[in-house]
Amino acid sequence: METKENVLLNIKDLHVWYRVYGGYLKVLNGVHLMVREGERVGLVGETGCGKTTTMKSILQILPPGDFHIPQGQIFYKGQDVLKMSFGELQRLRSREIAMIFQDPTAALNPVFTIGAQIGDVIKYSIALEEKKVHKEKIKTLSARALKEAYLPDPERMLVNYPLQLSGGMRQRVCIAMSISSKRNLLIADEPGTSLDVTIQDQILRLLKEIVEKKGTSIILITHSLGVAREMTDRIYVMYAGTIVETAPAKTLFKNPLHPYTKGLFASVPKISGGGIAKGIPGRIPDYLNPPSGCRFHPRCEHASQICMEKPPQLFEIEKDHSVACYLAQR
Amino acid sequence: MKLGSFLLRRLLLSILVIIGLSIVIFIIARVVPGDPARMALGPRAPEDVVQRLRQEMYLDKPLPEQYFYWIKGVFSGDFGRSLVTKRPVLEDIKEYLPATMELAIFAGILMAVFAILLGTLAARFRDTWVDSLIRILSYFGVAIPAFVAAIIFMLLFGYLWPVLPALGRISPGISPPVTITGMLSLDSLIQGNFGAFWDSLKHLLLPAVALSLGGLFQEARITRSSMVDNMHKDFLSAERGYGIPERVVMFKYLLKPSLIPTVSVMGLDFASLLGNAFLVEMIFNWPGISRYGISAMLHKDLNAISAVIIVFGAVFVVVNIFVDVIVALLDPRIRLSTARGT
Amino acid sequence: MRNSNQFNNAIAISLAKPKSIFWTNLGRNWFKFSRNALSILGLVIVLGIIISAILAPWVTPYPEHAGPFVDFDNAGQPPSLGHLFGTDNFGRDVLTRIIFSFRGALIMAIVVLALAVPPGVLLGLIAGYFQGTWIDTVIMRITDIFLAVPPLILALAIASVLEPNLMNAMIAVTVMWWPWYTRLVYGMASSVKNEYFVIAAELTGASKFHIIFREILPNCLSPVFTKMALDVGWVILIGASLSFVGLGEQPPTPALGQMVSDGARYMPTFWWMTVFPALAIVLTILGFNLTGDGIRDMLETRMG
Repeated sequence: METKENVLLNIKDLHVWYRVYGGYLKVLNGVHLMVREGERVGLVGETGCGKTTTMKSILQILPPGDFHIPQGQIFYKGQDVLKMSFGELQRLRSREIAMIFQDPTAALNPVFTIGAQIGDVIKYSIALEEKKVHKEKIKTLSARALKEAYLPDPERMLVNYPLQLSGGMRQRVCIAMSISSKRNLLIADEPGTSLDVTIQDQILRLLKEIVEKKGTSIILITHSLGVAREMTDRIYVMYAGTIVETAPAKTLFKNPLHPYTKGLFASVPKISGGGIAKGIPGRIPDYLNPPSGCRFHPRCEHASQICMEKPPQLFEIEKDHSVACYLAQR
Repeated sequence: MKLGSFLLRRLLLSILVIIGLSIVIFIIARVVPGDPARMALGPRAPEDVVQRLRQEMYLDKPLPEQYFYWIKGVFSGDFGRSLVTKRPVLEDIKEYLPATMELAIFAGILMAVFAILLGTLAARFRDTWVDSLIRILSYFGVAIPAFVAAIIFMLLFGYLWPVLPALGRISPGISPPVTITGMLSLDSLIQGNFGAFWDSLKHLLLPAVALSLGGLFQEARITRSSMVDNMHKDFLSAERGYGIPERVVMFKYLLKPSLIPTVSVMGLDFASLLGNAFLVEMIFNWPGISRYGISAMLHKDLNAISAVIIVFGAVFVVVNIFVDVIVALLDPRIRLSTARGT
Repeated sequence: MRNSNQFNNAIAISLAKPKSIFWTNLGRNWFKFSRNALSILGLVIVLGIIISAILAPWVTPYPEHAGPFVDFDNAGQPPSLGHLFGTDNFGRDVLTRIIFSFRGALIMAIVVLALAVPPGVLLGLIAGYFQGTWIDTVIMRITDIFLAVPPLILALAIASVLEPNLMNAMIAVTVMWWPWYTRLVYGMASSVKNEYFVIAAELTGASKFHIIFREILPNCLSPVFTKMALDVGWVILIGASLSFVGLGEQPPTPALGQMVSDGARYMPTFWWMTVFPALAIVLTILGFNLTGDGIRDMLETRMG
């Protein structure tokens, strides 16, 4: 699975803890994730399982507070993000990776114009190379980015404020900001989930087009299996801060191995002759005192003694298909 | 953008309010028992003289007519004559208003600058001793009325450690600048008279600090909580994530939305500044319009009282418009939603 | 704040589990209590003031000093065991006079609020319910007029044209106080009136009276009560400012502001004549502010 060639991003055994009153929320408990050049990766999991935290750790933009990374490494192009200097981090954010937030309304500063915000993104990206940046150039580039995201009348859009735009347009603005300069990896956090379905569809198609046109890699976070199937080459399934299974999309849909993945597939209601879908009993664990061993064991009907003692590691079952489960490994 | 129409609306509303204010004041002034004409002339003036004055002051006409004459006078700058100083109230106002304005503006600047400074510090170092210290100071700062602070400052700095002059606007022996705006510090600065400038600043300091204390700490708390609220907002993470350097994120993208609640409160705080100026001027013997107003009130000098209130009302209204404009500039949500009449 | 929801979820879940709840709650309660310590301090101060005011003739060392009393032999004594806060220029015990002046201050606060709040709230309700009509415009414009003048100035002006005594001072402060409640309630009433339960009541034919008082009013009350608690301190402050310039309680009845201004003349030698009344003012306002903050925290947590 881990071929050295073309590996862009390689998250290894990432643990992230968040300090709250009474202890630590041990959100991420050993996340492994890899993205190659040009690859489209899907990250699937229910709300609260740590997908966004993982992504934010890559860019080191976890919200201010007490975050603790006891172990783990995040390699981007061979360099550990967690050990980067400020300058290197800035370069990473301006030139290499961009994240499109889940809620576009929250992601845009309400008291600044679109032009100001996207302009600043471009300005500081260019400033890494050139000494002086011309306002005209920024404006042109901003308008161009907006146009690539299919926003109408880009020139006028620059002087508008976020509140004047619809939800779909705001999402496009966020996308425009992400593609305003050439980047190698896009992270799309549940794009369009806060919008209605038709708009969501447009947004997803836009992302697809961008990725195809520019050859950018993308990590698509979603809790919808349908979206993952359509848009991704490889899928990582996440539960409670751990990657439980990963496989190329087709393989995963044909042969899910982890009980959680199987449960996810079973939860999707089928319109043709399926009846009421079966959910997964229980809820996501308490991160303050997470279950010992495999974090899924309280909800797993196949749980055995070893599941409660030792957390299972990802083990390659067949080519390119790894599962973190003792059951599957038997 | 829509700023022009926003401004216009506020202006018209304010004019309406001032007119209403004048009516209220007029009613109050006429409510007082006693005969204004007789009070003006004294108990020993002969009756026919008083009667003539009554006719001059339109006291025998119905109230609405009296109001009309009075308002007409006000618009042409005629507030009548002061009982105390015996000269046109307008002249009194011209002489004393700049002093109060200088004090109020200086106090206002102190308030704004230090409130933002302290609030930002408290937010930056939140939950540390810095934050707790500022919080405790705010409780006291808000609880100490301006006149109490004034007296304490007088005691401390005027007598115990006389580092700062306690009374008046300028020390005897320093040649005052030629009057341009009437504000000593400004005038001396314009003319390059640095001796007078420095001296007038020293005199300004104590009363201005006393005045600004309450508002300063209240605004500092508001700034702090608004900054802390905004610190966690997603747009900051997003902006950081796109590669915008930290200092820009902090000083531009965090500061601007955080200042909105603070600036909104500043208008109200300026009102209490003006109100408290009355007492502080008395204590520091500051020759401003507030002190003039107090003596007018104690002597029931109706013309002066009405004039002072109208002047203060007008000043406050102007300040409010100014504050509203700044808030509208900072927060586009306000000027864009006014169009919908929210 | 979608991204923080994960953590809110986690915190909520962690609180639901009984095993960790004890330690977490203990810590949380201590945190709340430490904030409440300030409120308790405020409450202690407030109760102290109220009780000493009510029991003044029996609690103070020299109750007769609060009336017409002179003893020039004893005038200007610095703080001592016999006179904890010293004596003033008439030989009267400063401590006693301070406690007696609390009476006037508290009476003023109670009367002013009792007189100003009901009409203010009523007008705010009416203006809010009839928002957009001429009723709303008229009421709110009048309110704006009264709010256009810095508060203290208006009170001073009104009090000055009347005879200087406590009653007139109370009238003056009442007149300038009600608009704040109108504005407060107006904001809330106008948004509450669009809530579904109000519309439902209208559709079922409830009378306007019922809607305003039974549906809208109860939802506006919390901030009103909080404001009233905080306002006690402010009314006392304005009262002190008025008596500072000689309006309000007339001598020989003691009033805090008046004591400060009288004593100011004898500064700095006879500092206790000014400083102690001034500190009493600060303490009073502080106490009511802290209590008001505590009340707000209490009321808001219940609503939230």
